[in-house]
Amino acid sequence: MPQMGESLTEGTLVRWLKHAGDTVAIDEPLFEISTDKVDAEVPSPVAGRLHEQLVREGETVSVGTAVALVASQETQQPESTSDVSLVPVEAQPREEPGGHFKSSHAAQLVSFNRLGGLRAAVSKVPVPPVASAAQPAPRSTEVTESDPRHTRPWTPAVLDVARRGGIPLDALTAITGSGRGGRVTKRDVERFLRTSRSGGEPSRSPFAAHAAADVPAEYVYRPGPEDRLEPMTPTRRRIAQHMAWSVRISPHATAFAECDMSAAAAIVTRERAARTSHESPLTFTVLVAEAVVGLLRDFPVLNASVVGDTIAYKPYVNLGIAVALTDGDELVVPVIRRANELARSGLARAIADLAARARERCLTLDDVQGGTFTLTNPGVFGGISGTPLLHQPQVAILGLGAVTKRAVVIDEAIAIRPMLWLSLTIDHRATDGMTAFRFLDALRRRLESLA
Amino acid sequence: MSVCTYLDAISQALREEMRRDPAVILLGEDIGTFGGAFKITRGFLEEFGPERVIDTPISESGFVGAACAAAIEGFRPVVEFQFADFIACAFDQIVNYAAKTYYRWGLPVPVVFRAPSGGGFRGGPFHSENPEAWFTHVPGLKVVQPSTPYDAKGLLKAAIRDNNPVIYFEHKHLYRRIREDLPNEDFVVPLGQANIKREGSDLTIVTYGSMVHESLAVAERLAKVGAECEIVDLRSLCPLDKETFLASVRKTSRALVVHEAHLTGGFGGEVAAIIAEEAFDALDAPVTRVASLDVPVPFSPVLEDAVLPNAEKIYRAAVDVLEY
Repeated sequence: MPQMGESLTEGTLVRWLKHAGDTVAIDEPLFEISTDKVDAEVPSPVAGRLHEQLVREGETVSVGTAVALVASQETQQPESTSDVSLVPVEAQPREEPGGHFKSSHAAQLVSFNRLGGLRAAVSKVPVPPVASAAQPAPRSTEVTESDPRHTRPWTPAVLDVARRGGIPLDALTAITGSGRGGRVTKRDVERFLRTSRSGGEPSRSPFAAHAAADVPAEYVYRPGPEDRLEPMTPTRRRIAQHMAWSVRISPHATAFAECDMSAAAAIVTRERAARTSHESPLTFTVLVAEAVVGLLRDFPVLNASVVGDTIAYKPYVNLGIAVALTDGDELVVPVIRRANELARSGLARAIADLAARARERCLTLDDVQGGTFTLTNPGVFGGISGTPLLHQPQVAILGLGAVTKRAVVIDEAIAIRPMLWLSLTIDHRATDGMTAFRFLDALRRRLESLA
Repeated sequence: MSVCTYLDAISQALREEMRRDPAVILLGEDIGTFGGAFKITRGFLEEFGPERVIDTPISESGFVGAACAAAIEGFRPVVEFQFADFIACAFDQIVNYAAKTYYRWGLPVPVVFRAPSGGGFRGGPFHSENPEAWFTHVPGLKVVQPSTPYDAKGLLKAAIRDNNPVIYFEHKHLYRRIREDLPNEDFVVPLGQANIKREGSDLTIVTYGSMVHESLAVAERLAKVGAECEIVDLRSLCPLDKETFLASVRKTSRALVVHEAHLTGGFGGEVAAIIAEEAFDALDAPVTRVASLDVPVPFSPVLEDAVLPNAEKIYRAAVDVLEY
């Protein structure tokens, strides 16, 4: 039963113009209908032989109901039962993606054919006519196909713009199309890209594109005329990408502890006096690094990586040390390979060497890869402490605050001691706060008992 | 500068090239005493004499063969067919002899075949055809079709100076309809260079010959409703300047290919295929063709108008592509 107007839901079949066994040509009137708005002859959408009338004269049925079976046959081929199929005659597809057919019902039928609904049914669902004569009208799934990707294929240009702009296919389905039948055009995607990011050329960085496509427009800042716009340096962009990914990947949790550095300070003072000119300086960082590397043997889960549902434990410690470069906008993390095999003097030399090469920008790619645990030193900028972000794919990072003299209570007395705040950020997927605090406590005890 | 019709431009090109180069000779039916079916060579016999302006019998195969032989011997013959439809009579000489002689024997055949083509003037089925696609299929031939007096003159001069056989399709319906100021000094339009007749950002119309003017009219009409068409006039079909129309399609993402020749097997199919092969990622709508219906061109004015493409048909197709 065709839809003769947008508001109509049913129609009455007044009179059959063809009867079982009659041959019908495409567009040849098949039956007369009467609706609230119009009376009309309905032409056949297919050629063939009228096999069965499914609706009696005078019967009122809802729009989309099959009213007849027409056996279609390929005239070029010799007649055989396998060449003949039965097609339910429906003048209106049930899923019409955004199409509005304002002209006559004949136009509806033509459009229907263009959508491939009936034609697909004819070619794909061969039904022997005799066997199915007594059965209800076969319902072809092709006719009711409603997957938007089936009915709204993207053109190459749309896919190309989407790919370059980093828009996932799912997001494309959300774009309102201005093309025929609601089809999304290249212009629509370009407009979507313009409005979904804060302006300028689409970024080539996969993450930037990803973020821009994901972030709701209300959270995207639109620069005003008074703003000074300056593109990020490549290094800044890399750090931005790295940090943004890090918080997306891992649930971060940070544990704090306080450590008395009197014993460490005594050693640093003693060694500084005894140091010859070709020895690397002994620093708090070296002593903390030595203690950390030793302790990680007892806390293997902090020297690991999360791989899906698995934790990969590493038998060696590649210790990363974050170094801020002098111009302040850059941060590199050179790595001491197999730090667990180095003694205190070897660690001192490695740290001094990497820090110097980092500042001279002479690090190789190998120097900054493969870390398993990272030390960062917000203390050099005077900070008490910080909550560092994980250096993916590591699961722990230790922040060292500034060592400052503070009044602390020891037993029942108040004493002046050089104090250090330790902050340990962990990947909460890999381990829990208890491990973090035990590690910090063990580290504190180790540093306070240095001799 | 002087105002010139398309027909005058062809005539000027022939006269100037004959004055410049004594090797240039003309052959054709009724081109001498009668001055040519369309009077393009009126006065040529008087100026250049019967040895350079040769009236031939009604025997296309014969005088094309004679022209090819003369070309091999160092002449630069320009052959006039009265109507492009009659070129079929000389088909073998053109596609098997003129096109392959250089390839087979290393002998250049610098001959130009002038083929007055196209319908729209109630000429009926034997005087209205656009057979350019037959020749674009033959390696060794160059094929051009100017749309303006400037291109008509410049392309004909370039064709005469070219060492390859060139089929020069001149559209009869443009002969006296299109006028243009032409520079007085000598100029050529190089073979193998398309021309962007109008710039636009929304739709590329790739066309040539008479349909350039219909397409320009469509572009004006569409501009009033806010759609900017880019019109690419191919001018040369062989060699083909595909870079120009590919760049345009990459810009607009939508392409309409228009020619007056029949749809099936027409050169538009080649253009559409190149766009599909080389600019697939740029396409936001199906490459669509507008061409003559696949029937002989009728004599009846009503039927001829129904068969040939025109601004109205191009407009409807353009809207279809733009709205896709």
